[in-house]
Amino acid sequence: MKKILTSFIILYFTTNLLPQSSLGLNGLQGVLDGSFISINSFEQNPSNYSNIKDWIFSLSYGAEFANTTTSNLYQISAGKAFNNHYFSLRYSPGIQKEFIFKSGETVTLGNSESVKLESRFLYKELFGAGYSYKISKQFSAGLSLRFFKEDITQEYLSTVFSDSIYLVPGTEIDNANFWKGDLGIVWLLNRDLSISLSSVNLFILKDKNLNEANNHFSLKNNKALLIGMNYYPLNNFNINFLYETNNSLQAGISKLLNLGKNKIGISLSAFHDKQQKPFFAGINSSVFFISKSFDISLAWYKYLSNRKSTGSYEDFYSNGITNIYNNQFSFDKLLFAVNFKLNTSIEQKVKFIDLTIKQNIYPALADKYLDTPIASAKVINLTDEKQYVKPSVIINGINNDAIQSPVYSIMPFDTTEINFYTIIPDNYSKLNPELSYANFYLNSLNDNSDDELQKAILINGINAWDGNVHNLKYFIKRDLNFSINYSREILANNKSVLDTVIGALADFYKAKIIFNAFVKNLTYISDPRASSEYVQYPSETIKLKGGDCDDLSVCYSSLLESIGIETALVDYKNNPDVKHVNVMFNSKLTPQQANLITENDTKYFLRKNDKGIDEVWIPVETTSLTDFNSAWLIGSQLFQKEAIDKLGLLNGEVEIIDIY
Amino acid sequence: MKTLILLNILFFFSLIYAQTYEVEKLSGKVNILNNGDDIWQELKLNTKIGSNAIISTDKNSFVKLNANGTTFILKEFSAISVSDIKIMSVNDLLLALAMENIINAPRKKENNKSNSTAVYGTDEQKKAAELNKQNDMGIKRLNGAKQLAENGMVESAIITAIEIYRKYPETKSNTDYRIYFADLLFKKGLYEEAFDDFSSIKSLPLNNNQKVYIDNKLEQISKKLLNK
Repeated sequence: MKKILTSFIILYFTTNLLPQSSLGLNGLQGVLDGSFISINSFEQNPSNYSNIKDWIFSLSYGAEFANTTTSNLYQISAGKAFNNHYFSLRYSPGIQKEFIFKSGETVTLGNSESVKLESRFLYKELFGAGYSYKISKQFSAGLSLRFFKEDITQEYLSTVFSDSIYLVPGTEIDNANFWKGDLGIVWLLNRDLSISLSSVNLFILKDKNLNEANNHFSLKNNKALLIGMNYYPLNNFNINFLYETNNSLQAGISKLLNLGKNKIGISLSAFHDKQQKPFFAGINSSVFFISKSFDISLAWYKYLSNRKSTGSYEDFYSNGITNIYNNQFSFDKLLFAVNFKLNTSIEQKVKFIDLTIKQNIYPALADKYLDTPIASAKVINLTDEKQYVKPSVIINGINNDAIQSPVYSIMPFDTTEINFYTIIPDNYSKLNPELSYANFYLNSLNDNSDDELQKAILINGINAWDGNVHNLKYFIKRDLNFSINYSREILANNKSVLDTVIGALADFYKAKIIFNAFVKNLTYISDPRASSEYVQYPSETIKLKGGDCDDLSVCYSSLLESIGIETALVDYKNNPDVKHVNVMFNSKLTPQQANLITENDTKYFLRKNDKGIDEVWIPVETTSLTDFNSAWLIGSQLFQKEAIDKLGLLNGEVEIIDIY
Repeated sequence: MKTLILLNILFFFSLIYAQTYEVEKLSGKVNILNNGDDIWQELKLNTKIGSNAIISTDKNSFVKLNANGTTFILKEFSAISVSDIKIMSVNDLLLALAMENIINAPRKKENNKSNSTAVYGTDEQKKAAELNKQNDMGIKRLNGAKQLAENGMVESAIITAIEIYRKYPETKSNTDYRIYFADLLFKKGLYEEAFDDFSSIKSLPLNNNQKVYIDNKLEQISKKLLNK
């Protein structure tokens, strides 16, 4: 085969020029956590990195401005994320470049037809596929494969010897197919900075080679390394840089502006290619719009050298091309790209970082858990929008439905502490403790559960008490119906006495009568569980005919409260080994009326009510089970000594705890 | 700062408690409420008296108590808790005053729980008003407190007087006693407390001499506070 390839000139390029590896097909790069980081652009993103949550469909269309303007669909692609895996496929009918050379010599055929011999070199990149895996929040690694096709068609004249010598035109066709594969990693150092490292032409799998004589027309596949950096020195302002070790580079900046929930932006970059002149061969300026469901960009690629003139075959023959879409023969172009993001899975907006059970459950302390959290969790907002979170919890064995806690708001990417509260139903009555579990949920508003977590939790029996005297009031309040009936019955039995008592003394005498009736059949019994953490309800104390100081104080307080007499528990803490609690009640007498009940002013204690008026309170030692007067005397002496004389109320060794 | 001082002195709080006294001398009518009794009993010579007792003298009466050589004479028309016969430091007094502030703070109610079911009609109110008739115990107690001060137990006298004002509110309007105990605060260098007390007294009905005295005192204390 004889080839006539002497002095050809380039007549025509059917070029579908696309940028080289240092330019993204979407005309934009650098939006780190947005979707616009060169989606499915294997040229710029060989590691196939993506932060897409589910599906993305991408399309690029553009025009190139040579002697004649042509427009093409460059590529369509689809990407899909499965948890930490991301797959993408690309069909790129427009990523191709054709060189047509015609001989400068004219051949006149036998039929007097004149022809110029022609050679065509067509380079195509047809398909691409990528896979990446998010190893951690910081690291992602992946690979890409691209399929290339090269077609060379050359016309020639062959000599036929017969009666005459004929020159017969012929066509030689040669082609090659191969796969190019690359690997890469992306390292997100923090929210503002990422670094990427990828191979260029790491391996080539050839399906079919060009003939040996055409080998030097093949794409130059020199191995190199691509190093990238994306940095946000300011909010919404990005600097990006790409360097290929074959001496190509690109540097750019981009600026985003918030437009409601969307963003608009501009970017500008310049690139250098060792095979092109001047040093910065071209610039790329683009505008773009980013929304939740789609992104649009319009990019203008401007070469700084004159690209309207024809190139030379010598240049093509001696240097070839390393890249189909950005080479020394490329023209200015305008690219339009659009991404459609489809999220069929519910995006997780908030997430537990950790959760701590703050207290075991004491069912007796019912509404305590409305005010004091049973657990607290650190929760992160995974989105760039403020999120409202509804925390809720179901404790197995206590709740059938989720108990919702107050709504929290979390700023974008912020972490906050969230408390979980619960309600113990009134009818909870299990006596024995059980180790159960609680399911904690985070719901961003109007969505399903974003995250859930299960933790073990101890549910104590209904008589269990946490040792905090403040919480004895829950035992007092819980059995109020029993106490009402019991107190009323006692008062009814003593109606004749009460009828003779003046109104001001009514509460004092009611308290006295109830105490005397209450203690008649009771004995002091130390805690049956040999522990201070078991408290009887008033009905149990009456039924069991005894109890310790906690039980008796709870019972007496409950009986008085049930008929409207204010009570308080007095917690004596001066002896760490033996804790003691008794009761004081409000006689409603004024200080001037105190001498109606006693001449001894050390036997009562004045407390101001919520209006600032002094009222006479009577301390009663509930373990003194003889009669009211003895219990009052012992109670008042103990209070005078520990609370007043020893300044117990000041130093915290004595505390008065109001029931309501 | 005040709180910090209080916390510091809390660690060093110590009272010299009264001991058991014996009645050494006695004249006229002297009564005792012993160990939480509600009924006064006549006090007799050589009776041993514990710290829980309250002693009260009528007019033209007195009693001399002795505890291992330490004596205390309760003059006529006076009453005193034996436990109040004690030597306190200024720090002790500051602590006791701080506790008075705690006790005096109005309680906060959790909710508007209904009060006692008792019904107070017009007749009941009249009866209650009759029952509010004053007795002399408040004044007797203040006299007892004055005698504590006269016997060098100024700090105990001050805190006793404050308690008496609360338990016998009618005594709070007795300006002579009020001025006397406010002066004790001033003498002890407790200027802020004295200023508050004199300011409170100023709102009571005063004669001209008392007005002038209190104005001068307030001015004097103001200067002291400014120079602090």
